[in-house]
Amino acid sequence: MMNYVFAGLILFAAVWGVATGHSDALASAILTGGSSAVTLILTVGGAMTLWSGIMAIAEKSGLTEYAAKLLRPLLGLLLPGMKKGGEAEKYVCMNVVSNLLGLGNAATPLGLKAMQAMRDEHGVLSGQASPDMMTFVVMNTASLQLLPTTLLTLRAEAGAADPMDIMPCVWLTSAAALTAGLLLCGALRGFTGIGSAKEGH
Amino acid sequence: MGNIIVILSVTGIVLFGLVKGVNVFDTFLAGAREGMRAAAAILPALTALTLAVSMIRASGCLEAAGQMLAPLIGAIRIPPETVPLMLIRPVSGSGALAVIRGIFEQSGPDSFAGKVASVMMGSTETTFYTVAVYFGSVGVKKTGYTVPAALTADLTGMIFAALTVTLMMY
Repeated sequence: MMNYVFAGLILFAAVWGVATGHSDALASAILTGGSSAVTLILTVGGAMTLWSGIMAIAEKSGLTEYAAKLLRPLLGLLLPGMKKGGEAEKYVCMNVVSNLLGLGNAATPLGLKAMQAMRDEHGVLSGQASPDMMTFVVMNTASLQLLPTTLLTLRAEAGAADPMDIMPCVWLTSAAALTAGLLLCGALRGFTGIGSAKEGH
Repeated sequence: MGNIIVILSVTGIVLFGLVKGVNVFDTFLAGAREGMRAAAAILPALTALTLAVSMIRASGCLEAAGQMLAPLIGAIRIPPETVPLMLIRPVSGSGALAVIRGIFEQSGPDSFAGKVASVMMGSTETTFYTVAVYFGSVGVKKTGYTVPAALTADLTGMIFAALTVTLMMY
């Protein structure tokens, strides 16, 4: 997919830009594209390095696991097919906590383990997603992050007066998006009226 | 309030680690090393998408698209500058980073467009990538209603981003 996105953007930009007389800007965009990416990675990569360090402490000290335990009852409601005290439940909880803490690097491997555990527990027919799997993936496509550290760093770097002033809007919007996704999952799953949506604040 | 959350999360985690007898410095270094590696790993993709996105911005087609879409999205107060972000966000995280930095450079992080773009970025994820990786890892090809449900969540997020910024910050 990225193959076509990348090629499509470049070809479209070149044709449109040259046809509308933007050749100068287009050429300079190409010449500065590389250095512009490197300055962006310095900002973003610095934040990733710092927060990965902090989150490693949270993980090693058992804070992540403790928070995962707190979320277990709520997640059991959303994913009713999970075995109580099973592998899938453990990894799902850890995945959600890592997402909440903004630790994407840790969340993905945990999420993949959760998917494998769900497949084994549900004994899914080959190649078919179970309703719990679908709900779980939808939760992961909605951002659960309490502190979007990369975004906040970019805002600070760009000179925002208060980089965090958007956070209440971010939390409300995340909650709304997640609720919409979960409601639709619930409705399509057949349990209409599964009103409960999870979101930490 | 926001600042306190950042300060508390860092000091709280370090303190909790100390209390639990973790060597917080060495653990930080190990984690940071991993974060640095992850950052280095996305540089090639980020360069590809920065090139593509800056060419798109330089071509002037965004202004044209913005004008075309203005009546449609203006009704729900979505700033036209954020349309490229809405399009690329579900597909590519690196692309979204390149787009949002462009918006910050052009309009500023405290402009209406800058704020709405920030909320969009902070409350959505790279949907298609996530679906592909998660289901791919367990060999699931029939993803059922996952993509429609996830895209509904994304669309809700985009609309709510404009709505919450309009109502709560102006």
